[in-house]
Amino acid sequence: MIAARFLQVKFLVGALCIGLIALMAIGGDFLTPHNPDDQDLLASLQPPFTWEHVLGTDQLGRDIFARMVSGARVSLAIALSVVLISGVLGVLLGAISGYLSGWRDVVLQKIVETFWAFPPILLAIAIVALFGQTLPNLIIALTIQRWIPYARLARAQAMSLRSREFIAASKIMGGGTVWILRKHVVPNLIASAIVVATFTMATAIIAEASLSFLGLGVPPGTATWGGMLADGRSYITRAWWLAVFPGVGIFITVIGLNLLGDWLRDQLDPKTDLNLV
Amino acid sequence: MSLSAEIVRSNQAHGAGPLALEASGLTKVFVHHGSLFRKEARTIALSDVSLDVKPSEILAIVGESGSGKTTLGRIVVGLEQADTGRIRAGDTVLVDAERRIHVPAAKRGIGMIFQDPNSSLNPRMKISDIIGEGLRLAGFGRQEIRERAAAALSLVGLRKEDLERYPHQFSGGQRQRIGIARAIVLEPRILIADEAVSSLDVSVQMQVLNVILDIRDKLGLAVIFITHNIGVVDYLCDRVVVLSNGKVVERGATREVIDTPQHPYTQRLLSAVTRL
Amino acid sequence: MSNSSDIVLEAKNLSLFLRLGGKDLKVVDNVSFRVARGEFFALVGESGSGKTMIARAIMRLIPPSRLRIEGSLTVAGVDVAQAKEDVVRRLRGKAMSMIFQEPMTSLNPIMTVEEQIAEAISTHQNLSTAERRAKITQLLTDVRFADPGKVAGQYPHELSGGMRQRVMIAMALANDPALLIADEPTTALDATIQQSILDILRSLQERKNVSVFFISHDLALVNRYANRIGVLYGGVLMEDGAADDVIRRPAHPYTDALLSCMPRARLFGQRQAGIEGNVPRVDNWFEGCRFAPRCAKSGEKCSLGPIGVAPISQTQSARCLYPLR
Repeated sequence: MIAARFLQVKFLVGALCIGLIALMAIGGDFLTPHNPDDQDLLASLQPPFTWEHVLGTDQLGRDIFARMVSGARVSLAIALSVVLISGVLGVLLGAISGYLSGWRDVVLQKIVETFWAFPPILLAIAIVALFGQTLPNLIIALTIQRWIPYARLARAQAMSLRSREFIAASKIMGGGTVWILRKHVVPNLIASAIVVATFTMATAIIAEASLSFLGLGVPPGTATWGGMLADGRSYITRAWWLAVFPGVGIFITVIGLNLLGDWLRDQLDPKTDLNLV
Repeated sequence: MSLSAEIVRSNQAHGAGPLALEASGLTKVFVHHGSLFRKEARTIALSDVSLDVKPSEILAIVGESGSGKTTLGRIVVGLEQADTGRIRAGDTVLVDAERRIHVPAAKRGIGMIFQDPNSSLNPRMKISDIIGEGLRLAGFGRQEIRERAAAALSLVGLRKEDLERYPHQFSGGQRQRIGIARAIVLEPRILIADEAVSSLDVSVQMQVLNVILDIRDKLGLAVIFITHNIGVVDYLCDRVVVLSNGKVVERGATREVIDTPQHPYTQRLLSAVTRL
Repeated sequence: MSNSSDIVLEAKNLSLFLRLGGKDLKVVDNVSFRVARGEFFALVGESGSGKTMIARAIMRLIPPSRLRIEGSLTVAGVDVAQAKEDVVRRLRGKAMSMIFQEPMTSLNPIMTVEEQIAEAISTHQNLSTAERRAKITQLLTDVRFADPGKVAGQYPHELSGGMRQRVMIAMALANDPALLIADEPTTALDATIQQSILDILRSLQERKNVSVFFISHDLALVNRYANRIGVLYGGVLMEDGAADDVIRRPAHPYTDALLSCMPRARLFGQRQAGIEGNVPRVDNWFEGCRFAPRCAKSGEKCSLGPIGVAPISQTQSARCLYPLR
């Protein structure tokens, strides 16, 4: 019997969306004979829904579907790395800050306030523009603020965990600060961190697409959805498929992630405290 | 000089041998630092408190909120440091505030069980890990930890299979028993129970009280039971220490203190308690 | 038979269901009782018994979107199970009022005692400033404040737990309600303060002919003050009778077991038996008598279906197939 919790609309639709995108990213190669970089000027701007080019071709004759697959890989890979790095960093800093309090907490709060004050896209643009348009720089630009929501949540939770009796019990048995953080504090923070992760992954994808759209994203030449959107902008009246398909791709991914994140948060929320009966 | 004379006298009176625990002159003051909005405030939690516990005896520390009983428990187990005073367990010095000696909690041979069954166990850990945590910190091997944890569980009336489960699968009374198993698996000489049954349903309290009696009988532990519940004191405890506003106002054998309280505070406390 | 105008609170075949998005969870199972004018009725139960739900349902503190009510729950002639919200609102504070367990969270921290009681008064009465001040002083004196004038000007954080609870009682009585619902008002307080609060409630009950509906988990505590006691377990009212009968001559095996597992002195080092097993969890209720698995007197018939009410005497009844009397 499938548990009822999985038969909710949020989960099914969200999982469907993400499943589709993931399938495309992983197995898309097998569905098309074309390479994302193969140019064929004779077949430029072919409309979609033909056997030859399912999603049409762009102005250089490159197959849109092949580029979508390749773009999906790049976008997802970047977004995943960003989420992982910011998540781990944020949870650790937040846990330490919330559990230990004192000067470490004060220092972290100042750092948070400083970083948080910058408008995110401007900061990302500035970093890429100043330090060069490389992949590591892109990831730094996207991570530089994204760790903060994790840190805030982890800190609040760590502060309330501090007074729980099982923490005192561990101290009595000889648990030091590192042990308690590792065994007791962080494991209790992971569930909500995962919920935050689904949402920040969505924003990371949009942010990467925005940067690529502006030409500041992944080094030029690689197919990304944002880049494809930028390319397709000038052709929007003549060849709508250049921009619409990558746009739809972003849309489906973000909606899927948001729905899954919502569903996850519902699962973790105690709906009623049955102890009040 | 006079302290040791007193000890000798009480030993002879009850023939119990060296004391499990002796505390004298304990004082603790909490300082709330001033800020822009508040003056500095000092709360005297404990003031010159002394007590002793005989081996295998269950001593009650009774008081209302603000009496300092919880602070006293935390100082004895090592979660807080006393400002003045000394604590000895048998021949070992655990605390000597004037000489700045505060033996770390893990080395005191004192275990603790807590009040809230919903907060005393890590909800994400398996029972085997919860009970075995202290042993792991002490360097025991996996196999030995399992064996000892299973033995501790059966002492509190639970089964070996329960090692694989999680706290939410157990009732409040069972979780308290798991907490007891966690404390005794480290073979302490003394157990401190801080309101261990106050958050439990009445129909379940007796189960846990009987488990405490069982382990006292089987393991020869001394128990310090902190509570405000006179019925529990009557049932469980051999002697009583009554605290009010950080000071000891009365002490003695349970029967005597409950039937013929001497101090006006004790009298007031006992008359307020409704018993059937 | 009491006159219907004498009955201040009556539950008839009351069942409560929590609406939990999809499923409804039954938390109170076919409970019936009545509280007469000027009577102190104590509803005693452990966790999962449903006692808090009943208290909240009387004042309709939980909206119909989250709580489904079956049966009838009548206060001063109005069935709050069926009535519209504005009808119930007019009852609150006037015909019935309530005091809660945590006085700190029930009092507004930025209003003085006087302001809060005044608010309670002006919701239902139109008094001049002088009349209101006199009434407030009278109320504070009723709850045994030696210096009502001083207390009136204080803020909640300046008062102790017991004092805040007395302020709550004063607020609750501001409009002379017929029914005062007290949801475990002394659980968070020390024993000496508990007694003084209950003394106040008892004296107010007698002087003003207010009915007190007192929720508690402590049978021993209510014994001294209640006229009648109802014992709730697993959502079912197991026993209902005069306080003296229920405590000294319990009819239901659960009441008897509960009384005998209260710790008292051990004679000759004997052990007292607790009650084996655990209180059934609210999401895990089964058919038949919910105490049967733990009951020394249970038989096969006890698990077959709902247990009917067995009248023991004029003043006592129990839901049991094998009552002790």
